[in-house]
Amino acid sequence: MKTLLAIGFVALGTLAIASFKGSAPEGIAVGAEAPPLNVKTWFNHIGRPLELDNLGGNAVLVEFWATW
Amino acid sequence: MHDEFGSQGLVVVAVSDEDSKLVSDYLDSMGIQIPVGSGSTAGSAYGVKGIPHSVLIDPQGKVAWSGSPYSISKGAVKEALKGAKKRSTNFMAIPLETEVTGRLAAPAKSMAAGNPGKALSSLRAIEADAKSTAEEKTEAQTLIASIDEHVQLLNGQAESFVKARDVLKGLTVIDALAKEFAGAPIGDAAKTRAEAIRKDENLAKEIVAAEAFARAQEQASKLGSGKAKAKLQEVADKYKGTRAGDRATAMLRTKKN
Repeated sequence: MKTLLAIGFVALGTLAIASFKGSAPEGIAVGAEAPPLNVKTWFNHIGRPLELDNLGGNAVLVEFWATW
Repeated sequence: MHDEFGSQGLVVVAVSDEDSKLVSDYLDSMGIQIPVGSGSTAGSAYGVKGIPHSVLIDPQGKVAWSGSPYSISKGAVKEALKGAKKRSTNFMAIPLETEVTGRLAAPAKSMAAGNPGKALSSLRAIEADAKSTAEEKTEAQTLIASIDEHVQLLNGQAESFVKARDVLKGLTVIDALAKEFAGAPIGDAAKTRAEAIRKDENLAKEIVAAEAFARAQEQASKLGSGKAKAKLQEVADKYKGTRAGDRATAMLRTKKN
């Protein structure tokens, strides 16, 4: 009985880890075409709204964040 | 990242899906320098699940790296910077999408380098020159239209800044237009507008407050927490009711937490 229970727990544990690792990976694949930033309003910026199609030729680091 | 690689041409931006008022208020209390975008819908397209999350994009528009901002690969950044052009932070610069040749190459280059005033003179000359081909005239007109469009954009932004009581910022743009287009109608209009703003009693108060705030921030950055707060409090008290005063107050509120 105890052995069965132990095996049961291990199985559950493995299943849990497997599903966690198996869930859709965060982020976007390296080499993929970078989607547009689609920003509504830019702050700390003067001039043409920044978008990837007018930043062609530049290396861009985008940080996704929130105020909270 | 911006400090380390900014001078090498890395463009660093932050984007949020939140609305502009929320983001604007937050930025007022923070003193962030990089461009920040609000109302962005890109999160899901980039597979962002938890924030903050960073993505590095190479000069060909492909994803070079994706992950936590705390573990950005400097190697990936250096690699992405190879062959990357430096983006001019000069808001006068009008980068051109297509290659321009012949007589128009020089003014086009001036536009991209942030001298649209100089370009405009050359372009008007080409347009008026009887010896110019029809093609050259058409192309000159197209470039002139780009300059006008850009100037309109800058004027619009300058007025938005003034309206939002960010007067010093608005004047930065208007003064730059006055200087760049000195002698041309665009420049004259900008000069007149700048004078009117400076003569306006209320707007002038905003300018004085903004300058005091900038000085206080500069001093505060070199002082310990207590003295820094005191500097900001001085501005908050003395310039109550101005945008700078509000900003100083907002900054103090976050420093308390």
